[in-house]
Amino acid sequence: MTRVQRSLLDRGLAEEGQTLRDLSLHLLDILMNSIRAEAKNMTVIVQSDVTSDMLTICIIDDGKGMSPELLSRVTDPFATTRTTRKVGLGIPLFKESCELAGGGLTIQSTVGIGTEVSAFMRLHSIDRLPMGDWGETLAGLIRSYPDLDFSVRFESIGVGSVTIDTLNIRERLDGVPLSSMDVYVFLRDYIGEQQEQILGGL
Amino acid sequence: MKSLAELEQIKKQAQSDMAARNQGGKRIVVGMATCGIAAGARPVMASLIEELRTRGINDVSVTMTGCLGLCRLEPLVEVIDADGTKVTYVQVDENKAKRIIAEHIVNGKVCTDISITSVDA
Repeated sequence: MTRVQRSLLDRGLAEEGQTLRDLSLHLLDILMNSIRAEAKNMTVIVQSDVTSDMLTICIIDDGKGMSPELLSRVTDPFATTRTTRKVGLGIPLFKESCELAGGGLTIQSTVGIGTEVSAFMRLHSIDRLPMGDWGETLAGLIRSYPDLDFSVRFESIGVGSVTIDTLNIRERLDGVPLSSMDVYVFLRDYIGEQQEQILGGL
Repeated sequence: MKSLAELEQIKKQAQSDMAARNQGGKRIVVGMATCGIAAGARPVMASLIEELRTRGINDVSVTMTGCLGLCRLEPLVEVIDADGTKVTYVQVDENKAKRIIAEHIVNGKVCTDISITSVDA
């Protein structure tokens, strides 16, 4: 068991065996941070490159951003013993997942501008987390936050790419809310199919 | 294979949904912070939505929220009635999710054995 997972258990934040077991759950966790930071636009870019054996995920938001001091605590909750302010364990968990797969995670943030989380992993590392169900993550977020804008791009170098974004979808729906049941079901399946089509069974 | 052209169909269909069964403006909220996600909150939300869909209920919102403050009891699901009465269900799994829809949403009966408390919101 890793250090961050141990810490989650010790703090009663998870039961044995409960963790963020695929990348779609990490994505959900990071985007919930963006939403809490009052982001209105969130862009996700997933790129898989077999030649360089690299999977990268960038999550960019226009939320309120973090000060350098907060940023340093967010990436390493063990760097300080200060407990006056709650710092979540989602980012350390994601960072640790990336490092276990021969990669890493960096965050750039500017107060008033937004935050960009970049995660990279060795595509073929045996410890790399699977992609998981991006359709369920994104359709659930879009249904919950129909007034926010999400854009996701799946790209596989040498195979192709697709971009799905709510601006385009909202326009096509012409007044039908993004929170409606049929839109949820469509987006869940559509995004899942596009993920499969471009990235295969990663 | 789905295509974005299907959104046209959904747009047309939306008009006929006006006749959907009315459940009195109930809302369901699922805690989706790190602790909730780790405990399985996303598939719980998917089950709640799927059960509503199976029953043809279109007017109950199911949305995510951040930390509901009871990490040990995740996944947490709140059902908020039209009058603001809130019931919090704890350690919800996919089976409990189906019960919440069948008993609370459809029949208006609180599942007291899986709720922590009933308070006025």
